[in-house]
Amino acid sequence: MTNPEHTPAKYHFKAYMLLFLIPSVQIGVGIFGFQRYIYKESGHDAWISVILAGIVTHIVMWMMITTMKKNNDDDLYDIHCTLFGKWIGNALSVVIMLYFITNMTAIVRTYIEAVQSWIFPDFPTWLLGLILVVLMVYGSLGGIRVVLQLSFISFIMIAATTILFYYPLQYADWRRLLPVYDTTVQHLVAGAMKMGFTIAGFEVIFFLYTLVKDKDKALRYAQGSILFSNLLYLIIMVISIVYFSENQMPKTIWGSINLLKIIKYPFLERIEFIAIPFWMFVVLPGFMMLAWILVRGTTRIFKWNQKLTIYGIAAVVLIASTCFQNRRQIDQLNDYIGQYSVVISYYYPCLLFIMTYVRQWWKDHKGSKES
Amino acid sequence: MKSMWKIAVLIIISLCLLVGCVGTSVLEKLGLSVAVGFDGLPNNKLNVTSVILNPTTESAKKSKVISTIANSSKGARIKINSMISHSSVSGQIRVVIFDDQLGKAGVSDVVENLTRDPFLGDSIYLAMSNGSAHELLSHNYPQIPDIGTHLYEMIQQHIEDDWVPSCTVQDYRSAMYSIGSDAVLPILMKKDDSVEISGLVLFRNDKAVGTIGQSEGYLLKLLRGKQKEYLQEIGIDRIELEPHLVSHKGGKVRVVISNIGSKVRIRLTSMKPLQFQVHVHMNVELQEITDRYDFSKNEAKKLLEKKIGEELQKETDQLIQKLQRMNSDAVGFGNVYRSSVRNAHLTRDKWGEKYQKAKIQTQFHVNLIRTGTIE
Repeated sequence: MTNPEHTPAKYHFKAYMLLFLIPSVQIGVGIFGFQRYIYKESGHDAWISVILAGIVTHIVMWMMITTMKKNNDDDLYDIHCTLFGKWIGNALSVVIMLYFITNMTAIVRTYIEAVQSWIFPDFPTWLLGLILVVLMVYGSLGGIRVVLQLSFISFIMIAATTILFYYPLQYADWRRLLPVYDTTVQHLVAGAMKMGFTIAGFEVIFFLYTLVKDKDKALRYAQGSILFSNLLYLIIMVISIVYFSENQMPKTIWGSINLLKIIKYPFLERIEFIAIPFWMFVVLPGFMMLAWILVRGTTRIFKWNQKLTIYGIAAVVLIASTCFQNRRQIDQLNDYIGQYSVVISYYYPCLLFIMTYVRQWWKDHKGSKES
Repeated sequence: MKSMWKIAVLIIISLCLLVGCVGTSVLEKLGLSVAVGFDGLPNNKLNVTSVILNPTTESAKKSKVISTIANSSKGARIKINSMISHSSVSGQIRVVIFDDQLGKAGVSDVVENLTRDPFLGDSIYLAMSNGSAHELLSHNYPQIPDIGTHLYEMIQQHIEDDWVPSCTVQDYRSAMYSIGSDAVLPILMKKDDSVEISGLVLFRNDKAVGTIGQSEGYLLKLLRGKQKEYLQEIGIDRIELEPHLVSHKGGKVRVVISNIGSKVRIRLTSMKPLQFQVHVHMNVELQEITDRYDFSKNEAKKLLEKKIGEELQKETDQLIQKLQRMNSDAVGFGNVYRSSVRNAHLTRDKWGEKYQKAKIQTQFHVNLIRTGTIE
């Protein structure tokens, strides 16, 4: 049942590269406007919700890697087969793949929505969708190394953009953070749950871990990568809280872009018009990675032709993303995905973790009985 | 494999070329709006005045002014578009002015729709005109080639180095949507052939409720904690400074100080009755004194410091009382209350009632760090 080393060694990479790969999947379109959803739940204590979500993510990441270690360093598709048998296991893999393809659609559509509402109102959805999809095909055909290189660029882009956020601090009112913990635990947890769509994406470790060369260091770097994105979310959340006033935040759809709106340099008056197109570099690697994972799954389970599958995925994503006509629908899609991603990235790894231990215990138990 | 790559490259190149075709904007064909004025008319109509940078290089005037009456600001843009030879764009708007009529009726509709449009930045300055905004913008000023840019630079300079608090769209919206603070905007007044900032207008929610003058504006900015180095003249009764004055006459001694660094702490001291304590620590430099004052003694300096503090305190108390009467919390006591009381569940209306009854004590601690180059 376990998977023989069918991926050639040239596709393996060093553990520290997880530092670029995981944030590039996590950080994408969610960051544009995650603030208000959390703010609606936990008010000006939203930053505590962000920390809470971050801590849980660290724990889940540890669970994921431990699960894989216990399962001969396999990826999720193989773990499914090991734990649930061939039929149920593959069915679960298909569910995961469906989740990824929906996620891809959401990424494409939300990004296009941002471009349309901020820069080109009359930009046809299909055209920008086609551009993204063509780049996705290119990246996924190139394999994990192309994704890796692009994610390195995106990592630099993210770090560079973060520096821009110092500017809105001139308009900050730090008293808005006080009093600390002015809400209930329920609200904080509800706020942390709303981080779902934004923070999800770290579950790709389930598919990347097998390709890591030095697996003993993988956990360290995976945790480091999550720490990076958590810190970024925390910084942006705190800046948003001190920048927007109580009733202004819920009205702001694209909180992070609005933060950039105040920035003004003598040579460049409106930075967001540059930041949004540049953000394509940040959105793309995550998008490519999901496609790459999907293709790995289809070749493993259905033995489909890789190239044709990628074209198929591209067509599906393109058509699906043009089906969303307005803001309300996109919001709804993101909301659903947010809920599913909480299940798939948090509850489900816990289940796998427990099952792995139960299976081991059961095997040991049976083994000791037989002997 | 190779042919597929060729096709892929071709597709990507052609797509890149296609992207370039989305909505071109040729600079020469655009009418760049720099300033916009809104005048409120009866029946919710607006008289919109737009200052457009003149694209014809030969003309002497750098800008031209077009105005129209419409139901909405975008409706006005449609009408303005039909009056000029270029298509009017709003991406370069830097100043938005509305008249006192509209100010009293509420300006949030205009401001909200400015923010709705992504092409308008959040750093646009808002101001109120004393009298019609149309008159202010369309007057032919012999000294000012382009009124839009002139206003922008004037307001910017006053915010950066002077007594005007920051009045960008973000400042206005942030105050309007916060529970415990109200917005303040500068007032522009046409004076013959020039424009001046005559004072500040105070808001309650989105409606203008009153005005304050320049020296009160100075204190307001000081209390908001954003005051930079700027001169303030203070009158102190001569009798108060008697022991150290060289000549003995009646009347007042005028002292001009410049603020070198100040620290403002506003604390909620009691909930019932509602009491605030404002503590201001100021480092000042003496710029001018209209009498001969004997600085050689240590006590003389101390006395002057004390008297300056007392005078500032008196003026600040008056200002705060005025604000309370108008029910405009421009200083942001509500934010202090909200941030120091747990589970306050404060709303704007609740705070409005509380604010007017609040007792606010001020205390100034002035540190005269130097008296210029002479004593």
